[in-house]
Amino acid sequence: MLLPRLWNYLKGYVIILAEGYSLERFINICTRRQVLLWDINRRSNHTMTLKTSIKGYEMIRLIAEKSRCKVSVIGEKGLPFFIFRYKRRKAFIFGMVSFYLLVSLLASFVWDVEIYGNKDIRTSDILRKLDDLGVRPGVLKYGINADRIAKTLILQMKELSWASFEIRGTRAKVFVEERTEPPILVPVDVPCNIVAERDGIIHSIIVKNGREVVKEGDTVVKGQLLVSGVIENEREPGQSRLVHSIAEVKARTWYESTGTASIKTFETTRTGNVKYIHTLILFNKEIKLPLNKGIDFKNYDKVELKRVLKVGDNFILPFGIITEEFHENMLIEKELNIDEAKTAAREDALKKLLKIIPGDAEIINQVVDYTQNQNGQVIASIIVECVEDIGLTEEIGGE
Amino acid sequence: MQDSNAKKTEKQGQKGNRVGGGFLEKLINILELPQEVMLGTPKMVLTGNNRLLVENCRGIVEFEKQKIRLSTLDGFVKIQGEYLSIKEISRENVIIIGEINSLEFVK
Repeated sequence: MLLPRLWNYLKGYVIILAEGYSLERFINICTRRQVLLWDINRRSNHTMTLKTSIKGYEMIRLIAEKSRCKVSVIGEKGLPFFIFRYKRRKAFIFGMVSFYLLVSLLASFVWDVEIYGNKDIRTSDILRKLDDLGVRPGVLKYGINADRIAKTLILQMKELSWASFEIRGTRAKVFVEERTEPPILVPVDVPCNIVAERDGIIHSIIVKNGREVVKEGDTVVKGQLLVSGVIENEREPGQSRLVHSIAEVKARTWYESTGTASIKTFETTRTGNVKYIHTLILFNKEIKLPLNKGIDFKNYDKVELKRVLKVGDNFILPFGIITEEFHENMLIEKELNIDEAKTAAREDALKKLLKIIPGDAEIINQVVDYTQNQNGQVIASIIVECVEDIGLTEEIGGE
Repeated sequence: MQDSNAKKTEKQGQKGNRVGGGFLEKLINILELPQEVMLGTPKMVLTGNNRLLVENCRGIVEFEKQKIRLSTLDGFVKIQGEYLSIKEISRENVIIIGEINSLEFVK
């Protein structure tokens, strides 16, 4: 009987103590007058307790007079009484309401903008663009049209091929996909030559269309014609036909670079001395706490820790603290042996080279030369030999 | 509307009873109509020994912890037991809870 009980609770009821000698008569009159009673318990010979609704109590008082019983309220239960009791606690109600308002007010702003999916485009660039579009921490989130923002972002930033924008709680999430520029290709129906992209010695040449100008073993320089799209008519000299050359021209190419490594190096270790600087974030302002002492370490690492007050994952509040940890470092001089220095120098050189060598090139040989200068540095000169496709299509112009 | 109807049947039932197995009662028996609806005969539903629902109760005559007497059309109903109390009471129905030991009709 949960439902009637809940209903009684919502409407409110009273517990009554009735005293008298004809309590049966009292109950009978109540039922005849359609006053609902429940939980009637005999206490003693002439007392009993019963429950009735607030409205019923009004009638019971009249009935009690008639049946010469004495009734008194010994308990008040239910929502109306509960509300009445809390009506007097104004400060409590005020606090509850203002807390709710404050939270919902804070929840209606964007406090954090996050960008996912960018590799080459800097996050700050996208943030600046979003700022122009009106999305920045502290802006009211109801005025933001997520669909429009995503579309304008794609339109205005040429580097993006796709973007999505959504607001979760107080966090604006931007997912982007970068555009990979398609390689510039000469259309198949346009006549073209193939020229060398860089210097090298022809390793193999396979011509599918066009006339080959160089052969295996030839040394070519950058820009030199490898395969011509102009085919002369053998019977009638002077007349020629233009074709779209297709060929795979592989050449051996060389790349060189140098790397250095000192024999004397400094190794840093933390001494264990740490100093902290705390900064308070309030809305969009950063407040340095006055306790900060100057940092007097000669060498130090800085570790920045940002902690933001948040509820769940997406409801970020505009309060937080930034703790900067300064770790003092000690420099220990260390001498490498010659082999270690050589390895370090070679790796340095290789690292530089790998940035230049195109991805499809195959490294077939590498020659390393070490020298040592008077500063105690080992210099590694490295020459890497690759086989790669050096063909570059070029439209035949003016002919 | 329903209420006045009930009153009517009650009166009629009383009449029929007084005559002693009168015409109305016979008719109801033939038609197999529920007596408690047509005549106002008490209907009791006893659940285990701890809950008794009495329909068509006309009033409480005696109410104590060990004994409750109800007035019905068929005379008094005496309920004896321990810790008896009235769970709910309305115009026609009474629910009695407690440890019920006996239930008898007393003229």
